Amino acid sequence: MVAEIGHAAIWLSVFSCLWAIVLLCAGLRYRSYGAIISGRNGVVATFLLISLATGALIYGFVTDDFSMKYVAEVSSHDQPLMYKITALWGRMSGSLLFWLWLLTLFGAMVVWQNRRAKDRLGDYALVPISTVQLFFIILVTGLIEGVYNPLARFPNGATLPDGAGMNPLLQTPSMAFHPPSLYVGFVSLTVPFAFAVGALAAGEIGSSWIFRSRRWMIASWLVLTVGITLGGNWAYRELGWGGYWAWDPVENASFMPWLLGTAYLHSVMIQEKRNMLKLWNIILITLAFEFTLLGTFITRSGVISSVHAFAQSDIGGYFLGFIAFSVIGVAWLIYYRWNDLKSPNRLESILSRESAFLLNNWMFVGLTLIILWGTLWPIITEGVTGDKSAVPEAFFNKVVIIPGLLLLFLTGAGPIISWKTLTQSNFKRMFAKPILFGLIGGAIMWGYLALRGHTAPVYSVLCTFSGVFVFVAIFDEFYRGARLRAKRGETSLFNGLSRLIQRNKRRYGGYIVHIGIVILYIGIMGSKGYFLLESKSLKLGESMDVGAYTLKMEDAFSHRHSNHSRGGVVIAVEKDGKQIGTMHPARGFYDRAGQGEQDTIESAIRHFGLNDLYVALGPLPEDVPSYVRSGQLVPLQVYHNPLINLVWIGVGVMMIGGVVALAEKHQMKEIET
Amino acid sequence: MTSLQLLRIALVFGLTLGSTTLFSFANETNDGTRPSIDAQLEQLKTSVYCYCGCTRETIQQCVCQTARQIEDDFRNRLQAGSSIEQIRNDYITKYGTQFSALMPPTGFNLVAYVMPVIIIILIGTVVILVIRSKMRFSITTQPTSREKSAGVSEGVQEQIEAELESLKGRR
Repeated sequence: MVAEIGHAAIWLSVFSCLWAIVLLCAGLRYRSYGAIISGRNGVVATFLLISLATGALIYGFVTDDFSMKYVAEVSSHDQPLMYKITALWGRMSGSLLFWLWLLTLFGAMVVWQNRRAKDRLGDYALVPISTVQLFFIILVTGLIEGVYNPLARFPNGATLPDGAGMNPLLQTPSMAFHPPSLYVGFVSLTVPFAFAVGALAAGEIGSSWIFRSRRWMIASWLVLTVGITLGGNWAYRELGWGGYWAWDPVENASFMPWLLGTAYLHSVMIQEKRNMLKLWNIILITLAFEFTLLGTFITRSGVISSVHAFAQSDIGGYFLGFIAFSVIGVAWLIYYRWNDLKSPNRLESILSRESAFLLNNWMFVGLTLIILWGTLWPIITEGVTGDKSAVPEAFFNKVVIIPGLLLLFLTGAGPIISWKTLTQSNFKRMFAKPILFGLIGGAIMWGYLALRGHTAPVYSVLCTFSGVFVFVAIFDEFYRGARLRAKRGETSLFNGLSRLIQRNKRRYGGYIVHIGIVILYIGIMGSKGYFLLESKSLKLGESMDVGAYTLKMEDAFSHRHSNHSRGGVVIAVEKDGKQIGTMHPARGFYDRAGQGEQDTIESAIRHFGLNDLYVALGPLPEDVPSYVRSGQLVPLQVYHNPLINLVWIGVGVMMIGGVVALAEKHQMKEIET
Repeated sequence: MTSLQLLRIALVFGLTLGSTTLFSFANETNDGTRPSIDAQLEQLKTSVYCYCGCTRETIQQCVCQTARQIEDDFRNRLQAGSSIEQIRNDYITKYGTQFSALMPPTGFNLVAYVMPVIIIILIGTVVILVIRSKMRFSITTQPTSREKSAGVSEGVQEQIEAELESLKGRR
């Protein structure tokens, strides 16, 4: 009964969504406030109906209703409750419903936020939001071949005694939060895009649409950052290969909108300060939105094999079609408003913050297209040569490193170069010290690596130079501003710093994000460039050396959990002859595995300061203790990952900066002409 | 600065980026001595993906039983005298080109490596054209005193803001 109610709610939402689109368009066209209010009500009604449908599906999971096809595919009786709920996005039908629910939630939030607005910009934005909603509603109705309604039951009232269960790889805390955070990031990008389209439709091409959607954009960027990081963390903990990023097509699909969103966050500052790049900002946010749909196409269509290959279907063509439709729509609106998009202001100098931001955009968009190129390369080779191929991690590492290093440098140069023109005195005052410290840092890194036997570590040295440059430049910005405020307010430096950040949360939140980026880069440099890997099979009592550490296998264990057992070994870790800890790498043996493997890798990770020791076990029988104690060989794969914890710390600092920036209340400021 | 000069800057910059990227693809020189069996095995293990279903994990990275069997097979063949290239080619022929973890910049693959350089140059050209269209072309070569003062540094700006605040406080 509940499923039928949810099913009906999805079909009713088709009408409420169409109602919203028609009434909003009519109300805006004929200036009928009553029609606009009715249209807004349609948006809210759509949210309520989709919430009902989503609630019905969750109810099916919680009550183990295996007469529902989707529940039977991704859940089982003994699956922990948390993973029954997260099974909502375990496969395509449910994940599309979840995406739709988020979209309707954000649409309702836009209605609420703009309920007292003096202009109609929010109402114009609701039209593209509702249009995107309609597309997703049609997908989840089950009308499209290859996508079934997630609330559909088995024919003839059949009920399975138990479900297949969720893929064990997904039954981890990080995977519980990774998809929803990515979805929130992707879906919330729809709002600034909708405001851009609304601004074009309304003819309000100034900066008001940017101010109205600014917090949405920062929140989207923040949540996407979290989502991408959680995915990397999941890969690190669950896949057993000691790494966190391999340029997998689905990783790339989430990274590309993030790159474009980051470019947009910087580029809009030029429009706010100098009333320039109006057209470019609209193009950027449109690209960011389209790439979220493109990412879903890549993930769901199966054109490119990926770790997410379990979620393939025939849906890709529909996504491509909607992308084409939305691009054509935006292009037409841009053509219609072409004259309004021209800027009255001019660039004063090629050496200016404006140019630095343009260079920044150049690198971000360039990186996005390079990553897209590499992601689509297997399709291109298959089409041209007939041979299937996989693009190795090494290709991406080679082609992104130079633009990446340049972006790192700009992370420091951008904040300290002046608007309009860089004068000689400005250069001496702002650039000299960071460059000097950067050169010293780079030289020290070269010497250190040379002493350890690494010849010509060019990229590491450049990374260190740029990182130190950025850090000193940003630190100086904080120090100068804090000192000035402390002096004026006759208070301490700390209070001065606090007032400085309070005064301009967006700017200094951004600077904190830049510090996080430096930390992240250093972590990537260490963990990707200088990791050690040793593979060896050991018997009980035997040991192996990895770098400065000695690992000795001392015992074995087995524990039973609700839906799986976990068997592994006890490894004692020694350094300089002294035991400094133990590690417990294991294998998981799941009773049910859905579409996945029943035998999983449960790696042991031990933090030693900023470095990690990482141990993964090779395949073992379920009764691990008996196997090990009988003197059999246990295959071990041990990684030493230097500085890897800087990756997570760096992202954490970025998140803090993002939250600070988000806290700023938007104010329309007079645009400089 | 003329548009031709700007385009030259973009071209030089893009070519510099491209050549440094391509430089990193250069193979290490081979001094002719045959590496040890272990070194050859490590090279093999990182050059092919495991066909077990763990997507894009090389034999070195994959911890499954299949990877261990493949590793044993590789070791046996190396010890029997087969070369890295022979063993690798046999593996790719048997399981498919999608299991090759190498993508040398040769043949059709060269297009993959060249395109990023072209992308950077193309976008750079667009950026330069945008800058050119937005540059204010001054008749005199020296900036006017008004334009000089337009370049206010951030520190001075902060100071002005702080002084304005204190003036507001006094009112």
